[in-house]
Amino acid sequence: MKRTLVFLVVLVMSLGLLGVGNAEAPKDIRLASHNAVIEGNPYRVRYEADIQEAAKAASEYGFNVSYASFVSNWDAATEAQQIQNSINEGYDIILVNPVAPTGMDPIIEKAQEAGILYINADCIYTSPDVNILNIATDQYYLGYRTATYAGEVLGKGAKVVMMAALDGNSANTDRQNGFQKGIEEQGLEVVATGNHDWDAAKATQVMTEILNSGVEFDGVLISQCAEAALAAFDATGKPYPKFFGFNDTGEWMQRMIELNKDERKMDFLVLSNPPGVGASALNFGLNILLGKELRDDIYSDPSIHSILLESKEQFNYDTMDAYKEKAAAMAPGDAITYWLTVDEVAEQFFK
Amino acid sequence: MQNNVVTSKSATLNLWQKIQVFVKRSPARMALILAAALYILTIAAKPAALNITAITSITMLTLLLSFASAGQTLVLIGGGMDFTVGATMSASAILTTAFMNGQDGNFMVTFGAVMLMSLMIGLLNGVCSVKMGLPPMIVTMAISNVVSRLQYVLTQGSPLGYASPTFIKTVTSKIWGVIPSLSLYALILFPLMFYILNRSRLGRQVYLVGNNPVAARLNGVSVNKVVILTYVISALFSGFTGMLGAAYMQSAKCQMFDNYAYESLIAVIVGGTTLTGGVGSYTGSIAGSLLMVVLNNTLTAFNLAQPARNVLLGLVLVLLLILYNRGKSVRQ
Repeated sequence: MKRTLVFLVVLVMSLGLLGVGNAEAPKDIRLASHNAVIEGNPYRVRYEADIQEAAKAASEYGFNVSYASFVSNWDAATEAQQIQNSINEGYDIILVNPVAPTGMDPIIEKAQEAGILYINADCIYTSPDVNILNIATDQYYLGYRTATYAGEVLGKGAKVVMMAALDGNSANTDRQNGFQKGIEEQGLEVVATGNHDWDAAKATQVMTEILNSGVEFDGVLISQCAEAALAAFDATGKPYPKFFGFNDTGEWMQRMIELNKDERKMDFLVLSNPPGVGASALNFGLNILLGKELRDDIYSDPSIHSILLESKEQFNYDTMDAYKEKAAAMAPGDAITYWLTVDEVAEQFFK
Repeated sequence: MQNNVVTSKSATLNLWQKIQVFVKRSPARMALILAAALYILTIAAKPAALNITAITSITMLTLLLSFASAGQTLVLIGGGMDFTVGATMSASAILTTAFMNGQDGNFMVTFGAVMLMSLMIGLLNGVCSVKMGLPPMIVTMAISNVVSRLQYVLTQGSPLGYASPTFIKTVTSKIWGVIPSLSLYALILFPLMFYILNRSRLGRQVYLVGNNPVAARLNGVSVNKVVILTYVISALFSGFTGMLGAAYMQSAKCQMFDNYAYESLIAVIVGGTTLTGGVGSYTGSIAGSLLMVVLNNTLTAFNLAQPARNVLLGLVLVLLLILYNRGKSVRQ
């Protein structure tokens, strides 16, 4: 009896100890997300929301991530001051969608000296003098793919309108380089140009003015805001061109699927430029905190440690059926979004 | 004797001064002449620019801007300034698409909701401008900021729905293939605005208050009440224009029409309304709207690079504003 009792006590204590060993307390991580702008920019609103969702999902990996957001409203001095405050506050990860591609080297070095993980997301930070991770979507591909597909649809020598986003913005610059390369390869002729600055009303206005100029064209190459530019055709009563793209919003997807439901009326292209890139960047950080090591062959530009994530979702007339349900469930202004989980990041980019 | 002096002075005016005198006396006519000249220049350089689509869409954009400028004209003549025009339009567009949700039959509910919201914004503008003693520009900018932020709070940055198909048709379809149906709204809004400014007691009081508030008060005008009313009417016009804008764009986004705050202000000033109040007309604002639209159209037709376009637009606007720099007709 005594032996049985001792055995049971030892068993219970052993199980208890085992239990304590498994129930490791989650590691508290303080995340500071610095953004150049949020309000006024639906993409950035979604970008921050996705980071928050990824922060919550990190609990599955033993992290308790608390999130704080800082917005500099495109002011580099404010941005530097806010990051300095985050260093002083002792955040564990500083995630920055920067105001400018350079000029933050001293503050980055301060953060790293304080043992803080500093990651740049979405807009590339181009200084090669600091060693930080740059996580962004491959913007060059978005332009190149659109121009290439337009060439396949329209044929060599077709006339196109090129409507860019915001001059000086690094994503726009990369996209325009991609557009240009595709235009050259496909032998397209650009007959009119414009900028919409990611402003829907301006996209409609500029497209209207291009239509007013009487210029003839076969397709429209546009760096998002496509539904707003298409509204100019509706308002003026001009027939749609043969091709229009790219864009990634619910409204664009819904309108293209509805327009082409019975027959091919206008070729189009949907390409994802996910606001979730910030959330993916956070998951790179969490993998580093888990002690994992990045592979050497993953950088698009090793001098600035840039990792470009591919546009995972795209469709056109031929493949639109698979996206009908997804499109119907999206709000008009929502962009296609997703992010790489901690495991996906580990699998694709870490040793 | 005095007439002789004036005549001799007129005789010695150089061309620039003559232009300035003409502009100051007939700003609306000057804006129309400039718009026509710019369009002729565009057609001369790009003959393809002369087409029905261009004329129709220039008319549509002019109408939209002139509707947005209506309230701004009233506020400016009354001595104020309304920077909430754009934010009110954007918020109205969001309400419109959310209430209509792509379905016909919700117009009156939507109209009621938009007017109620606009009324509140107008009251807030007016009361704060009158009671806080701060410049109207600062007050309305701050309130515009609040209205913009509320759009994000209410929509999480992603507004829902579309304007209803019938409402879209009433804005974008063409009568006999040429006249934009938006003109039908002008048949109501233009006479309404002309009546308020030129025929109503309120209109006369607005001119008086804008010209000299002290004199207006001494004449028994309730200055504060008049100022508040100008902001309320401005917000109601902005709200309705936002509804029309939602139909024009078919869907809405946060801060979509924010630029209309500046564009309406420039159109009104180019149309001859002074920033100092007491002087101006809605005819001038309509002409100013046309000039702004044609100017943008011309710069796009020439297919200039965006930076060059912006520089030219800025230079032309500075030139116009120098020309339109008008003094008050009554000594303070």
